[in-house]
Amino acid sequence: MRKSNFLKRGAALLLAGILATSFVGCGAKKETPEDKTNTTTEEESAVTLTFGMTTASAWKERYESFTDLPLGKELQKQTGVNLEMTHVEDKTAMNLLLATGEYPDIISYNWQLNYTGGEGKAIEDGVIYGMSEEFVKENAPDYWRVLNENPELLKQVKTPSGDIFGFAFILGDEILKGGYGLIIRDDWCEELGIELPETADEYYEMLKAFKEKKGVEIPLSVSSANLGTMLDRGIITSPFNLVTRELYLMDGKVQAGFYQQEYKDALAWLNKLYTEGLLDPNFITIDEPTVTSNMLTGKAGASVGSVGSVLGNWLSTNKDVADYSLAGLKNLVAQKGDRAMYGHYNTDVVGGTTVITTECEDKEAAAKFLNYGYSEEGHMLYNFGIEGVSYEMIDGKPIYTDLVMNNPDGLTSQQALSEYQLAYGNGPFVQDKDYLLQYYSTQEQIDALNRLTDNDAKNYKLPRITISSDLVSEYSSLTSDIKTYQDEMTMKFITGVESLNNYDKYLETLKNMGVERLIEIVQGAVDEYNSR
Amino acid sequence: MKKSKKAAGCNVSFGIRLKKDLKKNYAAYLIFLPVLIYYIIFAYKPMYGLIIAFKNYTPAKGIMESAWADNYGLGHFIKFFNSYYFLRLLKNTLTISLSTLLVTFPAPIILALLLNEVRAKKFKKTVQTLSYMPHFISTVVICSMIHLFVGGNGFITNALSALGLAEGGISLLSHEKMFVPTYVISELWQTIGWSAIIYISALAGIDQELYEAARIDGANRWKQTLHITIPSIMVTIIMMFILKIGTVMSLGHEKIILLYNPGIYNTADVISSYVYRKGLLESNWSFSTAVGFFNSVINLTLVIVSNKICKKKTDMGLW
Repeated sequence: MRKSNFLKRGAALLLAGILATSFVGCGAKKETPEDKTNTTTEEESAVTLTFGMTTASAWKERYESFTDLPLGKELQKQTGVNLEMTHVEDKTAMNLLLATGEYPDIISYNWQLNYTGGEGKAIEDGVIYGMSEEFVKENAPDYWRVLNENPELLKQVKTPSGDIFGFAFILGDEILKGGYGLIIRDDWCEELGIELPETADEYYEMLKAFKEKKGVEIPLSVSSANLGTMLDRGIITSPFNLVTRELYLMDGKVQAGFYQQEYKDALAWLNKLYTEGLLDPNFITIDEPTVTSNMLTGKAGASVGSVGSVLGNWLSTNKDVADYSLAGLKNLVAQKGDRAMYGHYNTDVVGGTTVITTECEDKEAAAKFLNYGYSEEGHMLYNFGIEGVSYEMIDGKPIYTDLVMNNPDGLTSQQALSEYQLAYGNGPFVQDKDYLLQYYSTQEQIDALNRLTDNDAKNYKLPRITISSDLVSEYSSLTSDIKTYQDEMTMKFITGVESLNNYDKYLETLKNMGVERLIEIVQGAVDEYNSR
Repeated sequence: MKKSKKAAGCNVSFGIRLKKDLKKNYAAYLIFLPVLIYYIIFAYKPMYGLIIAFKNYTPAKGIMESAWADNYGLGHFIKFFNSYYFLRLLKNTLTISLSTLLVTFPAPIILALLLNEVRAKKFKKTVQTLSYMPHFISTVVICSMIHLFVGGNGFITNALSALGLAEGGISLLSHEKMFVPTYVISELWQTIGWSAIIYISALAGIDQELYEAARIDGANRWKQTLHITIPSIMVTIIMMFILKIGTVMSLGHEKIILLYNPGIYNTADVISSYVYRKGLLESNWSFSTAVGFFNSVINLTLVIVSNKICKKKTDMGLW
């Protein structure tokens, strides 16, 4: 008994790894034999590929597996490939799966965000099969055509060593790249006679009016993750002459927002909101569902989120509530009429990348299957679903049917769409702007999108870089330690646990932790990217 | 000459003895078998995986093929000792675990002694059942209950703010200083009843004649407790104590991970939660294993030392 405890703790990870194998085993939902015979009786030689992905919250309550969705079924029919799914719940489970060394043939995952060192490191680790240009040309001609149409794209899917790391989710239009920002109850503003705020001062006055005149309990309700996003996406930093809290580019030089004097002013402003009870006193501990319920019940009057899954969902949930309306705000600025420096702005290649793993035995077949998403038919299927079911061609344009936009079974449009297409999330194809323009069904959403994207983020945004493999380990340990410290201090400065008089000490500590080395590494990666 | 013969004889006789015993007590061995298999699979086999603490492990290459870490394989340990968070993690781990030990170790003994004095059987049973109930609830559920209790509108927060001990409307878990008490008290709530069971059964085994004799000698209830009850369960207490010491460093990472947040890392982040973040969230498998390994070494050392001390002081120990 005693010995076991030492062993258990010590080998915790490995143990976890073993558990993961069994967990994944349970998670894998094999198709029933009946399903298979329907589609493949004629083609005895049909290819079977194993496919790993995280379940999407939009459908996981209703379906067990991607291949049970109308989309999954249609995809198998059209490509003649049988998919055997391995679904994992979340990032932790996916990392466990990756630690086992036994991978499905294809994995769809947000490597850049969730796998330290991104796709480049995963190739180095022997997880992802790095494709050569010839391989792609030969086995995925449609994908190759898409990559060649825009020279930036090819740069974004390559590692420093010249491999193409996978089949990317590509945003096909500028309009798709933004759409996250401040959301407020504009009906309250109207009632109180306040114009939509543009500056930090006006925003503050609005929150104050919500509290004092409307008696709102929590004027601005956000979780700590939300607040981090507000700072990272520069949504509230422009008034303080700070581009963003994150790393950004200025005149070709990499800068770190959290390592600048200007960040102090942003923190001071947030601290003021916190001390005056305008910012949710529990922002550190609450989660998204609490924020949502605060915003839906009128406990709160301002928050932050994306135009689709947040603003859209809130509006449609409360569509029968009279006097409930929301508006997206422009990112805050110092003087009325200024243009915000930064905002939520994506690179062309975002989110999850679908990759072929080193374990895949028939890499050509996998590439051919993934190439489908970039062909004409694949583009329509992944973006709009099945013609005659989820969309109709009207005047040469795909228009979603009522089955998905006004679902008879009471599903939200996001949920219903998720059964027929992948454009809401990510996948191996080019996202179509017609998807978004229809998905944003209300005028509020379109207005919000226009306002939220009205900024200069393009000028400062880092390209989609990949850190070269010999620096990945140094880069990741610097990033993780600095991020932890910086997150922690941000909270403390906002809640006043740490006085802002100690801001210089904070900068000093960051320096000692190696922030300048971090900037140097990223600068190197940016230079390398530009030289491609 | 004589010596070697004796040793050889000893070996043979052990084999034979084992065989005989196997035959005689095969049922007992059969019952033991699943336990043995469990430990081989889940405790001894993974030990082999500890090698990755000394390597730069990548899953695709496997444990054996991965390259050794720098500094003769000790690179990850050195990195951890030099890391900015090393001292804080160590301090938090020790603070939280020692205060947990200080509170949750004596409490079940006291509960058992008190229950022992209770004459009303029904009351005794009810208290016992209620107190060990939380043990059967999963950690995840327990933690969401704690979140509710100490949240902005939680009853504990409200009670404390009525007494002027906390700010009303703000979750206790957003204050650095509140984390340790919250953790320890919830731990007490979770474990007190269950841990008391072993003492209650030890109490039941005390020879009643001892009490009779004491009563004849004129000892009151308090004296009886002091001179008969406590000494009688002392062996159990010491054994439990040494076992507990061995888990000092291995704080339940599940519970901490479910309760903490970046705002209170300063007092809440412990070695095992750090291992979780590094290993599972950032895929630094080797580094994370090295940190976990360091943790286990401390644990083992603590057990050995406490056993030694106990043996020296009381002549009682685990081995």
